[in-house]
Amino acid sequence: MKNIMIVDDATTVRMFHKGVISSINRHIEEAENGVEALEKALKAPIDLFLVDINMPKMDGYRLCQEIRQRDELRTSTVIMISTESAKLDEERAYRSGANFYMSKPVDSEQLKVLVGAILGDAV
Amino acid sequence: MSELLDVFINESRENLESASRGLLTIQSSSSHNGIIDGIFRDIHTIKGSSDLFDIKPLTALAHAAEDLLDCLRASEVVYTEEIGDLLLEVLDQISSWFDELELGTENMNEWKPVSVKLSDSLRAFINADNPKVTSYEEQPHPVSSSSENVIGNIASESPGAGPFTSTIGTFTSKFSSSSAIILLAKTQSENLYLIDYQPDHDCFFRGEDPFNVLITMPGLLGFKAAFPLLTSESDIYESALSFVAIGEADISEIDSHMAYYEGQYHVSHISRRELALSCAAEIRDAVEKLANESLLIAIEDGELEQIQSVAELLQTSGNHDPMTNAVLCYLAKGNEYPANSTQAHMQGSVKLESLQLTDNKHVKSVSLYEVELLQQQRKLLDAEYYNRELMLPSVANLTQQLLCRFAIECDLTCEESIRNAIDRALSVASTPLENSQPENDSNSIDVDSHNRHASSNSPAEEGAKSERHVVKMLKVDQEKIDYLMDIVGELAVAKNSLPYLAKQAEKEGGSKALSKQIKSHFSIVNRLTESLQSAVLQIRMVPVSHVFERYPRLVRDLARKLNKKIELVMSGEDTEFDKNLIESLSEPLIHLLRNSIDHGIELPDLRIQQGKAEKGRIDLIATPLDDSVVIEIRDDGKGIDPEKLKMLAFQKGIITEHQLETMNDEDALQLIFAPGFSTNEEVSDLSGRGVGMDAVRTMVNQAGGKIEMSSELGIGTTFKLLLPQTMSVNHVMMFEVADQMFAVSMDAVVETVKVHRSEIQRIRNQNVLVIRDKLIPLCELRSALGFENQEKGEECSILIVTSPTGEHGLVIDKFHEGIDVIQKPLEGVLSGYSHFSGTALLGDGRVLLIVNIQEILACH
Repeated sequence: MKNIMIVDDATTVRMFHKGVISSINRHIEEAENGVEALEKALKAPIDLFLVDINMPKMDGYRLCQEIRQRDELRTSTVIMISTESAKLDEERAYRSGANFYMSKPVDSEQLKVLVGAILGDAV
Repeated sequence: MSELLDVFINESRENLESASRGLLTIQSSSSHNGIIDGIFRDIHTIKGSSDLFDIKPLTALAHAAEDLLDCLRASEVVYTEEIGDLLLEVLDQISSWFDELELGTENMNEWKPVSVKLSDSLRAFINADNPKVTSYEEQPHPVSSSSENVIGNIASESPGAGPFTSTIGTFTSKFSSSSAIILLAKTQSENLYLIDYQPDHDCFFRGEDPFNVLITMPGLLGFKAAFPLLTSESDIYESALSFVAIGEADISEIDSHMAYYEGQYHVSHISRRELALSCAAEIRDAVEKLANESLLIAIEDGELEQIQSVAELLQTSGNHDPMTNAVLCYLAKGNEYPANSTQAHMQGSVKLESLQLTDNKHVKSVSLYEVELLQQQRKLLDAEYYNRELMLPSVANLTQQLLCRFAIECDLTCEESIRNAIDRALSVASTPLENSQPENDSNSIDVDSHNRHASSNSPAEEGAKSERHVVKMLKVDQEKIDYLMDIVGELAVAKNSLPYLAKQAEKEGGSKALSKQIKSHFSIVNRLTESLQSAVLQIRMVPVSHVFERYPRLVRDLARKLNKKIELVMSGEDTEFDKNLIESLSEPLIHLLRNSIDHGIELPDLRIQQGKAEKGRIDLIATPLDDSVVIEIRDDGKGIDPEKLKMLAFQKGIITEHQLETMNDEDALQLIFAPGFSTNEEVSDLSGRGVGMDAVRTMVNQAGGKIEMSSELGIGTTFKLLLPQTMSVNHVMMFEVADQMFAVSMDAVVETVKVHRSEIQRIRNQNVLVIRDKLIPLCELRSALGFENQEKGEECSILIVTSPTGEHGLVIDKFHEGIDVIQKPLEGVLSGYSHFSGTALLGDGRVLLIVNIQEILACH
């Protein structure tokens, strides 16, 4: 069972992502912001984070940095997804410790393939 | 409509509401940076989510609004009322599009002109030369552009640089691959190091001897020195040397050896396998040159022992060139032959061609996306993007995963070797990690402190609180709760049959014990049902803020339209209320607010003349009071003149001349609730919509509440609504007409009387009864309900009820007790039938019809 966490303040986006990536052997957690995500992730290890950038309380950059600071989450993969398609944001995402950056609107095929590759459970 | 779209619309509506709330707060607060941030995020969320659907005009408009807000946020544009108005207009537009979407509209193209128009006006506020401003359509599609990049990058990739070759890369750039083979032949140790040693320029002056330092290096296997080219300008006393050395020893040994030369060297672990892989091509060449069949077979089969023995044999049997000799020496030591495909994976797995060249049956096409992902991991390793030690574990983990996947699809045999290689890479990564641990801990910020930070921030506080609340909330379709409510209601009634059963058991079965048992059981069921009922009622309770939150916007809009300055102060918004009730109240409340704004609050000039504050104030207060809730609407406007009211009422024929003279002020004020009454001479744009205060009173009454009004001339008017907290349980009085059960609301019942038929008098073709000098018109329910009018006994049962038109007597057959019922509205064919306000189930399963007194009397 692989654990995925979708962090986005928009329910619609979370639902969309969930719809794209859900599968029988994946457990999907959701969080509305960085603080909630970190709280949940520290309770149960997460293999893959899908993180939005613009969120209240704790944004995606910050969350990513926090993830990298934690021993138990350091091996997790972080994909940042955001509407900010500017190169600057992409670089900032990587500087914060993201493994990959995608810009919205997310191509669901791409997301599906990536998640499958990352978790190694693609069908 | 798809479920996702449904969620999107619901969520976005919340965002819209919170954004417009934010815009309204800005007007009344001086610092609005935090608020703009919130609004920005709301719009941003809407835009981001709308991307998932094909709603281009909406996305474009949201995008424009987001851009403007971004500029506001960055203080590039100064907030003005005009911007506020425009943004509110945009929010309204989006909201009305949602309405259309919900109806399933297909004509999104028709939205386009509006979208363009609004977007243009939004962008007009943004500085024209602001480079950030790009129209939404002009933006290149990010996905397609990035995948093009991937192809470009792959083509330009140099084959030597694999994802884990940062150290190896240094090695191969400094040494030739033949030296790598020789090195491999020389040693069996896994503890290989590569050191880059650059003595300081002034090292000679400190008496240091770089050469000595180098050759005394523990486990040194080889080194390379770079001598600078000396020119006439060079200072011959300055060192310009640099060395690269390789050896077998722990990195810690090297560190202690180099302890005095801190900062002048860089040492890293070098993996033997990687080294072997880096010169795999040379090894292969050497083996091919030998053309020894048994060695080739052994290599093909991957038989380590076989390779070892053949290599040993070859080594001793012939005269080979040093390179071949080194290769044989390496193989004879029991090393694995570095397969070419493995090398491809380790070094150039990002090279698409190489993946496709190893083409065999297993190859599915490796997706471009995966390649892009892997490539990004390599970039992350190469670039000093993030704290490398912290980043490595995830990169290594991910790369391992990806390589395994590629390997499975390309070449099953090399999976194991890659796994090993990466395991080692991981162990390398973890070594420096441990050292840096304490530092990281001090850097990290725990979640709690974050929370604290958020709550100390006052504008953010409320948002944070409500968010927290939302997390724990469960959103349930209201229909489901209504259904639950119905069932619980039926249960509440069904349990009433138990006492009846107990009576039955005693009477017919003659068993007192059984009857007692049933009774004791009844008390348990009764208690449970009651708590169940109150629990369900609790679910339906929502805070009044549900309705209240629409009002600031309403007040603001109306006030601006009328050029009045009005502040709406709300309190007690968290008072809870039955949801249905709240919704039925929304309209009367809006009406009352409109009245206050339109007729109550004076124009600013007039207010100043009267020594009042320029800004009018309307208080909207909700207070819980026992089982009911009081809602007050209080304005500090001009108040209502009772004399004027009386005059108007007289003119309109509502009161008689006699009443005009005798009526006291208190009663005069209540005239405002009289049907067909409007105090303002001219029907205004706002409140004169044909619904007077009588309509408000009717609506409040229907909800089971009462309305009171008090006013003081020149000081203000207060409306007070007294409402039950829930409307679900009704106390009704049952009675029988023509062997059928009916009921009326207990609130309406004044008294029950039994009179002799002779006491009923007939005045003006109407049966009346005189009780205590009061004339009470009677209504024969039998005929009113359409039953046959049969002659009854001498005694008449009369139920006296109040209605807006005064007290009336209902002539019925028999009185019954008062009970609590859950009233349900009439459904189906009966729903248009207004004689009854609803139905309820009785304990024995019979249906109880609840009579709508007003309607019955009106028909009569």
